[in-house]
Amino acid sequence: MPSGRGPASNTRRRLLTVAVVATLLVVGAGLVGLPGVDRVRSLAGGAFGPLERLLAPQRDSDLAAARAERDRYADIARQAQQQAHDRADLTALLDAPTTDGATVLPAHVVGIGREGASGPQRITLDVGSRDGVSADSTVVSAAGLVGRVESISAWTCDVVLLGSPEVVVGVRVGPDGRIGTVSATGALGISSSVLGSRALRLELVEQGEISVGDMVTTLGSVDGRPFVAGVEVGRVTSVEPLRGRATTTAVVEPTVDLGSLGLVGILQTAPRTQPRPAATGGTP
Amino acid sequence: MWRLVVRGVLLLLAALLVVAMGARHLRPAPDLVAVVVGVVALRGGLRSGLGVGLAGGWLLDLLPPGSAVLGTSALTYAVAGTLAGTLQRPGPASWLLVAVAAGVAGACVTLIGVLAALARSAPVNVAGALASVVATATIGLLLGPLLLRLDARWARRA
Repeated sequence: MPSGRGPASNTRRRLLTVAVVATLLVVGAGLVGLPGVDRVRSLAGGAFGPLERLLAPQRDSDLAAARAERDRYADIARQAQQQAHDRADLTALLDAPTTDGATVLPAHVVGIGREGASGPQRITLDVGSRDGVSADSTVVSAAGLVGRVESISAWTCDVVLLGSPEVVVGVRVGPDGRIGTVSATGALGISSSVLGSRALRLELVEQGEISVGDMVTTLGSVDGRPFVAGVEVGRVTSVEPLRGRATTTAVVEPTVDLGSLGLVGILQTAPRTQPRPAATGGTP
Repeated sequence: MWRLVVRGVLLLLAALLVVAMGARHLRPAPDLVAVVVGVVALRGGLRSGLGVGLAGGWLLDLLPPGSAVLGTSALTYAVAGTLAGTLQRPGPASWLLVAVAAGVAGACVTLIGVLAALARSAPVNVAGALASVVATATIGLLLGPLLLRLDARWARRA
């Protein structure tokens, strides 16, 4: 593209200026949470989602029937292996305490967003609104909490992962069930933040005793959205000295290895429809 | 016109491959969009770099799962493209310069990501970020001259 001085060059310059200004406006709209941004995501998901499903790691349905005979046997063997792998993943997911008694929609990871400096922050699953996925559903794997559904298109949905800056989870810690929050952001300090781990920061609502090895589970949200109660988040790996802080803080290592996610489950919860009966004190 | 279409197709392919490589857990993953942005910027200069960076970033913003805030990748790649555009030299570009342009674009995107993570005290995978920049420059060295030739051919046809 030659950088001349003619009318065409001026038009290009104006177009670029308009594009940059429009982008800045969209970023501003996204930061203040104006409506319409999610609609753009949904439309883009509808347009690009099928392409990503095509490029996703192959499963049984992707195997082309009309392959050469020599390759066909290799494909059948690979398919059987993949199916066995999927079955094992699904069994592990459904047997996990996380999904005990819950309605689970299994989904495969078909896309992982461009990796940020802290690792992946968003993934795309191969299920969407036509499969019954709704926004703010909890996403889990057999090991524990993965994230929450953010935007949905017809056949795919996007999940914001635990450890993304916009995910803050209310949690219970240890056998006493102390209440706190877990997030990726916080004053961990540069020395610990460049370690390269996906460590999360736990902050209790007040000072309290927690120990290394304590299990951290979700506190739960109203109607189980965005997070159902009791899902494993991680384990406490170190407790920070108080140093004049008003609350206890600690470092939590997530139980889920986001680098090897394959099959996950979307927990489907319905809002409560019946009023909760009141109880009388002193009666069993 | 056709050159713009070719560049658009190259960016779309690169963005799709970036997301697909992520789903296959390939590490370190080269930033193929940065490679295309670097090559086009090297050929077209600052303004082309800005334009192609903006377009490539928008594709990454919109391609599921996209970015947390729509438009941030577009701005990041626009800066990377502009920076790579400063490497434009008269005459044919050497293979090494193509790799450097891709590496500069990739490093700029990575650096902005690292600064954003540090600003919110999030953990930073320094080794992973460096490996990704090296992988991007390596792919630039391998594919860059091919992309440069492709772009030049369509420019001649146009």
